[in-house]
Amino acid sequence: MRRLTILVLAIALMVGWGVAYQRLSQMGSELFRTPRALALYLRGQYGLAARAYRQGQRGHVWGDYNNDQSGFWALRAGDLPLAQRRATTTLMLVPAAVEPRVTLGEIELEREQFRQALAHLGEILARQPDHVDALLLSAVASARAGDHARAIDAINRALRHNTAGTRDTLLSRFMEVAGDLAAEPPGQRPLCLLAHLHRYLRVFDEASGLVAMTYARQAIAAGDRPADAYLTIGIVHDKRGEYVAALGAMQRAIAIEPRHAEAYRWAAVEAGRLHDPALEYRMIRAAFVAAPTDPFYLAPVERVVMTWFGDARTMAALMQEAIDRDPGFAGAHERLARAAEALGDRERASAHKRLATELRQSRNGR
Amino acid sequence: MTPPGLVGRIVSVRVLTAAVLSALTIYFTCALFTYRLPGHRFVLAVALGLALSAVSVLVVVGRVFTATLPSFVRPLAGHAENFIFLLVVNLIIVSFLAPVFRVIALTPMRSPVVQRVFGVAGGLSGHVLLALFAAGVAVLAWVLVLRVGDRVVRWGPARGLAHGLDRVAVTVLVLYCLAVGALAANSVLDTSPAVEHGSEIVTVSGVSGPFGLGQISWADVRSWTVPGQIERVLLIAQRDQLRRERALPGLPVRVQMHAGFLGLPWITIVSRDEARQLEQVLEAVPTAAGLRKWLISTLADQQRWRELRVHAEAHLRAYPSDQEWVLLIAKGLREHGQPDEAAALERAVQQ
Repeated sequence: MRRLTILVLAIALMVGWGVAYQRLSQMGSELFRTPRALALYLRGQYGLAARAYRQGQRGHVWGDYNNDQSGFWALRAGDLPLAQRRATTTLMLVPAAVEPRVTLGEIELEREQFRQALAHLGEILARQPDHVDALLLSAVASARAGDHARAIDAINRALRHNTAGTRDTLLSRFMEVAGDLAAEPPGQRPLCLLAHLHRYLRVFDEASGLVAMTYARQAIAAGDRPADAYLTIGIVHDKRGEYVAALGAMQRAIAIEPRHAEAYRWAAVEAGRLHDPALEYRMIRAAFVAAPTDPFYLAPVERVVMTWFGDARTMAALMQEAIDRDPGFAGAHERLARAAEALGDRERASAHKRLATELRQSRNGR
Repeated sequence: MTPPGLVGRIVSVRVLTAAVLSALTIYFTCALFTYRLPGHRFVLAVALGLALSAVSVLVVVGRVFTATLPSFVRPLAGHAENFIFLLVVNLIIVSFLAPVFRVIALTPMRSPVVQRVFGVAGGLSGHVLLALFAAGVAVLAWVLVLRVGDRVVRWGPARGLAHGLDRVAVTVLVLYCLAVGALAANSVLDTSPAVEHGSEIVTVSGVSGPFGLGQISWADVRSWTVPGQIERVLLIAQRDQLRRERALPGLPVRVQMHAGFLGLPWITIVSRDEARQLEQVLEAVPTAAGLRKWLISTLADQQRWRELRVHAEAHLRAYPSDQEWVLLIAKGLREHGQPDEAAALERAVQQ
């Protein structure tokens, strides 16, 4: 009997190690910094875990003002008055500074003054619409303020830059809001937003991808922004290496919302992974057509249409269309100049090059 | 000792013969992936090979645990489970220290043996240990079954059944090794030239092992012998660059085959047909001048002059102002002894 027990113990040890390895190897090092928070996170108590992670970051504020002009390190250490003093001092000296303004937004978020937080962050986003930290914090603030649609848009816009932001406080803020919103009664949960929050958490923990997919499927069933829900499903499939399934999800998103630029862009990414250049070309072109004045899509459309396919004629037409909508679009002028040069139209090329330079110098152009 | 006596002696070493047979079964199963045949039966044969490889390991384990141990090992027999348990614990400890061992293995050492030991210990973590433990769980579960069934097997008829099963398993394994050996000979001794067939992916399917441990994929492609029929081809990820979730239906492929020494055609590689795919892309996007120019240079390398001229004309239709470049192509055609193609291209420019 004793020998059998030892055998069973050995099997249990191996299975246990395998399961633990599978679970923990999916997680980023950020989640291991506070053991108590990690335990809470693994038990699915996201709200408590987030607060424990933040508690773990608190402590003595190292460095003086010169080393923390944005006030972020003071905020991270939990000294909100000091953080505010440092941020406002910098803003007095350099009113256009961005990082202290983000800190002020985050301080208001910590104080649960969501409208004020959104005001600070909105100020940054008006100047830099793709500031990732500001977008992510505004997503948290919007989610807290009950503006779920705005939160989803902000997450999608931030995550398209393929980064989870620069502030290590963002993870706990997303975790906390995900935990709190999931604790709402089943009929009142913002399913699509929860899918997006878990899509963010997936960056740090692969297992969150499956949670995001589950919420996204529930959102589709409930009719809660199904196109964005399919986008989330598609992205999680992509991260799991399931490219055919990812493309299928993107195509469903496009079928529901034929002007969903991100779904088209991701469909192009999947087509590239699946060695279908014609589809990649069609999808990236459609992404630009869906958002012709968004500078984000300029680089991918130029890479495929112009650099790879050498299709100067289509590139010129696309850029002209964008300029017709927004004559101050410096990036489109620059690309049109390059396309016109490839087409042998030197006069047109130099005219648009000149315009682009003027727009860049006037600081109004993008 | 007479030869039959020697064979009898070898066969009587039950554990050794089972171990050799198991090694051969695993080796020949790996060979199946190298010398693949087309057809869905072959994919089933690979599945069977994998199952038989597992069975062969279980036969070895079964024989080890029912063997009469040599006298010098007997005192340790009662502690076998303890050793297994300690091995598992030690492997887990080693997995935590593996990153340190990996660093140590990179430092110069006097003894290459010690360096190698650190290298191996450094590798005993992550998926390697996971695979080792997955195999270990299966083996120990089998040992557990043997231990629990020990009492039953002592009963006469059950013991006979166990021996019978052992013999059946060994017979099947021997037959399997002989069959795959014949398949390997069909490929290894084959000197026929490679023949390429154009085809198209219909679907790509597959199964994945638990915990991300391995994947077997196969593709259904349009038959190159019977129009309208489908051929199933086992995919080898490293060689074919194609696998499940990495290819869409309609992807043009080239299947490279040999006739086979025994007349069984076998596949060396399934690759994407980039040239045909490029043609398809240019049909869909005729203004893709960059791709067309690349194709034209490829056609020039292959001296496919008529197709080259057709593509140069298509380029001119898409970009009528690019006459200078097209005339350069015409000049090149003339230099390569293709005056008719060059003249046709020049006429197109003049129109």
